Amino acid sequence: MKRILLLVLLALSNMSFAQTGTSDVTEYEIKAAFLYNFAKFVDWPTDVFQKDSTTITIGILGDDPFGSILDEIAADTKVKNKRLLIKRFKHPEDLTFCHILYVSKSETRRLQAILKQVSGASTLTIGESPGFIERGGMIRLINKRHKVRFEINPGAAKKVRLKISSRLLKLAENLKNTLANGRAPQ
Amino acid sequence: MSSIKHKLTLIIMTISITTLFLASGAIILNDLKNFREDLSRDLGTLAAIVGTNSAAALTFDDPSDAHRVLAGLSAKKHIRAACIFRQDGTLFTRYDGPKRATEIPQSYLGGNAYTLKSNRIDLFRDIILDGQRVGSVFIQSDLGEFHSKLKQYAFILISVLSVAVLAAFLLTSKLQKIITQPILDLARTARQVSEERDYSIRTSKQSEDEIGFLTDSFNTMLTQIQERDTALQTAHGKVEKQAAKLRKELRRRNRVEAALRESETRLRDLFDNAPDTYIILEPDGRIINFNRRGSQVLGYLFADIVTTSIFDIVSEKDHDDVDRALLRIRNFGEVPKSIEVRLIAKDKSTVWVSNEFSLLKDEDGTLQSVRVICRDITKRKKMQDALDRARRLEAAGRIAGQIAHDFNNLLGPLAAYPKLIRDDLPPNLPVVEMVDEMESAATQIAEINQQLLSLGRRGHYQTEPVDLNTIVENVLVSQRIQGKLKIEKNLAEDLFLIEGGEAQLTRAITNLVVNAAEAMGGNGILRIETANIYLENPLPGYDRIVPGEYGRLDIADNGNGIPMDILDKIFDPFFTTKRMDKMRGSGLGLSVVHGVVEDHKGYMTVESQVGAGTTFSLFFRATRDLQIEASDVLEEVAGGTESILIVDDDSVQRRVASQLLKRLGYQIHCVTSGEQAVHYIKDHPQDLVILDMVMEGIDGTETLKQIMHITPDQKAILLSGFAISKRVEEAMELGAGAFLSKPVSYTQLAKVVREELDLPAVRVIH
Repeated sequence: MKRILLLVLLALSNMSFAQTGTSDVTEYEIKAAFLYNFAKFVDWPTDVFQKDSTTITIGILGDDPFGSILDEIAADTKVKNKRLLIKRFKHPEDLTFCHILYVSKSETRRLQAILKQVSGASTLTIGESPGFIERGGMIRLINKRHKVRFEINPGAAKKVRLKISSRLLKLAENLKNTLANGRAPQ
Repeated sequence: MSSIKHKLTLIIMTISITTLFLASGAIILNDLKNFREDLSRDLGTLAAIVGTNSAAALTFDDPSDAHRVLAGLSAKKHIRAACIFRQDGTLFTRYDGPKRATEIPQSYLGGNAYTLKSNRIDLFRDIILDGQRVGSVFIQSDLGEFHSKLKQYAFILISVLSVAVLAAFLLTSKLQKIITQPILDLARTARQVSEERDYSIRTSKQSEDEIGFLTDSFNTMLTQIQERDTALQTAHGKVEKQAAKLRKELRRRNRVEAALRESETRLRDLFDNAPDTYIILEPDGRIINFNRRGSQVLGYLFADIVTTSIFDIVSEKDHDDVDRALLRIRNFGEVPKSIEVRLIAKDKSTVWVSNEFSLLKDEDGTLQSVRVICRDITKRKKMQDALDRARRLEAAGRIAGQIAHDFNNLLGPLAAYPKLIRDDLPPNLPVVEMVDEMESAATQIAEINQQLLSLGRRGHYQTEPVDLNTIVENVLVSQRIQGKLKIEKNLAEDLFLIEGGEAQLTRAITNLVVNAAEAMGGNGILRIETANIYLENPLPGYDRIVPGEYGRLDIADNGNGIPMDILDKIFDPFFTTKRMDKMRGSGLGLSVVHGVVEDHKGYMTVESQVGAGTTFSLFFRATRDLQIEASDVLEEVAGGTESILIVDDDSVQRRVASQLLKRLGYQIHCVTSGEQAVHYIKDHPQDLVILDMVMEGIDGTETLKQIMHITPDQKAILLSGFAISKRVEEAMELGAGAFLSKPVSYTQLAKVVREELDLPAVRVIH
């Protein structure tokens, strides 16, 4: 557990990773940290916590690239004073409600259907596939100069009543200039 | 002046300034405190905003975004620098403001902190995201604003204070009059009253307050004083008149008293300084008072003899006379005739006085005291005695000479025939013995006759320079001294010649030698001494002498001595102590000696002590002119050509010394006093000065001192009739080269002069 904490700290302190994957901090360790850190800058509508107000559920659809990292983080971390619960789904038909849903690259082909399927609930969708944003995904993780960065689709989030903090928005690669110029995100 | 006006102004000013200062000080301090708090609060807020805005950037590792946040601080000019640190303490991003930052930390491990330095504020604040610290923000702010504010406040404070002080002063100087004016008026009036003593002055009342009351009271008081003063003036006038009278009287009495005192002083002065001794006696002879002259004459202090009797100081021989005089006064109240009595001085010497009596009576005519004026007639008495004796001697001498002349003719057969008779008589006849006695008597008569002839021939003989030593030797040879008599001769080798009659001197010396031998009964020591001497002071028994060089002859025995009571009779003719002896004296011996000494204008003294012996000393005036001629010693002494000044008030000394030294080649100048010497030296520097120590006017030492002022290296030789004295020593210290005691032998003088002149010119003077 200590190792994980250290890892998180390291990840935060210097979030570049080695391409070869031989370095101490791997790409997915950073991405795992991003995943739950996004929760800190996103506000869900209050009704999603009616059933259970103490848990934020992070779902992983398709192949899990994180291994046990997310579980280790979840066991030790609280966000907005809520426990993290990791759920893994093999097939889109297995999906139940998640506050955050990571759509693995394995599901690229079925992306359109999956995003449509969750569009009724206030789920923050995160993916890596190209066209993820264009197809209605909310946050796409990208690798840029050995660093993990992300793109945001604020309009998609707004549709499902998710409020993404402007502080997060101004970090998004696709919105940086917009925000820096003082224009409101679309 | 510390007037009440000034004091009041001072008090008001002090109060206003203090109050104002405290008030503005408090406001400014409070303002400054608020300003500082505001500053730190602003900074805190700023840090919080920066923190919030950079939390996401920290979380997602986007330093560029964080830097953009910090860049927003550029609007705040006082921010010098800002930094964001990661959770692990490393620097995330940094911003530098327009002003130079100092001491920027390179890493920070968390914690909120606020540090106020002299010119900056450092602030650290943790960045919290979702209850978790994700990093820290650091902001350093400049305090320039604070400082400028401080300056501004100081300026305001000073300006406000100055204006306020000025205003307060102007107001005070106007307003203080309300209080001070009445008081000052009162004070002025009081001063006026006390200075002019005019109690009619009043001061005007200006207000109805306490000062008004004071004014009223003061005026009332003045009224009371005025009343009393008037009363006092009246009384004082009376007293003053009385006092003036008293003062006048006092002055008069003082004058009288002063006059009395002065008169008394004058009288006392007269009394004390009278030329005669005044003695005031009780009628019974007790001494009440005597004057200063009395103390001088008799040697008694006032305390010594006051209350003792007059009989204690009058010689017993005259007690009867005094007693008779006092009896006459007491019994008959008559003033006795003046009497001559002997008073005994403290040193037991006799003072002859002639007493004039006068009586002091009180108003009733009762005898109070007796005044005795004692005129000292000792001198007259002595002169009279001397004169009597001289006359006696002269008369006796004349008669004796006359008789002796006749006797001499008659003595011829008496002296010659016994020898012839004895030759014609057969020896062993008893009558031969008688003839011998006749012859002896005739010889003695012839001897006495010779003495008488000497007395008779006084003043009628030729004088020539004679040597006393030769005469003494001759006398000792001709008088075959008998018995165990021992003779001690001590004759001066260079004895001065004296002017005299050899025969007379021989007789006189013979008489003295014979007398001495007889006094010792042929068993003792006869001491004969001659010496050169310089006489300056009178000898015992002479009032005055002629100062100069003398040859002295002492003839001393250690016989029985002469009793005091006959000492003054021994020179009388026919006075002899040898009347009972077989060798009957003629009583003429010492008379002859006396006559001879008188004729030579010499002096003679006798010193005698009963049981110890008698010394006769004869002094004869030396004659030196011929001696120089006779002296060939001079040729051995080196002379010279130097200039010598002779300073001596004795003409003989001057003449003799100058003759001698001139002959030796010196240039001689003589003066007769120290003053003349000093004056002469000024214009005529001398190689040597020969100085007599004892002179009229300034003495030798003083003369030398003054000469030394003119010529500090002056060589000098001192001469004196006295032995070395303190004054001589002083002169020697001044630099005098030699001291010669008079009489000076010419050889000695010439030698010393040469030696002194040959000494190196510069002498070390201590």
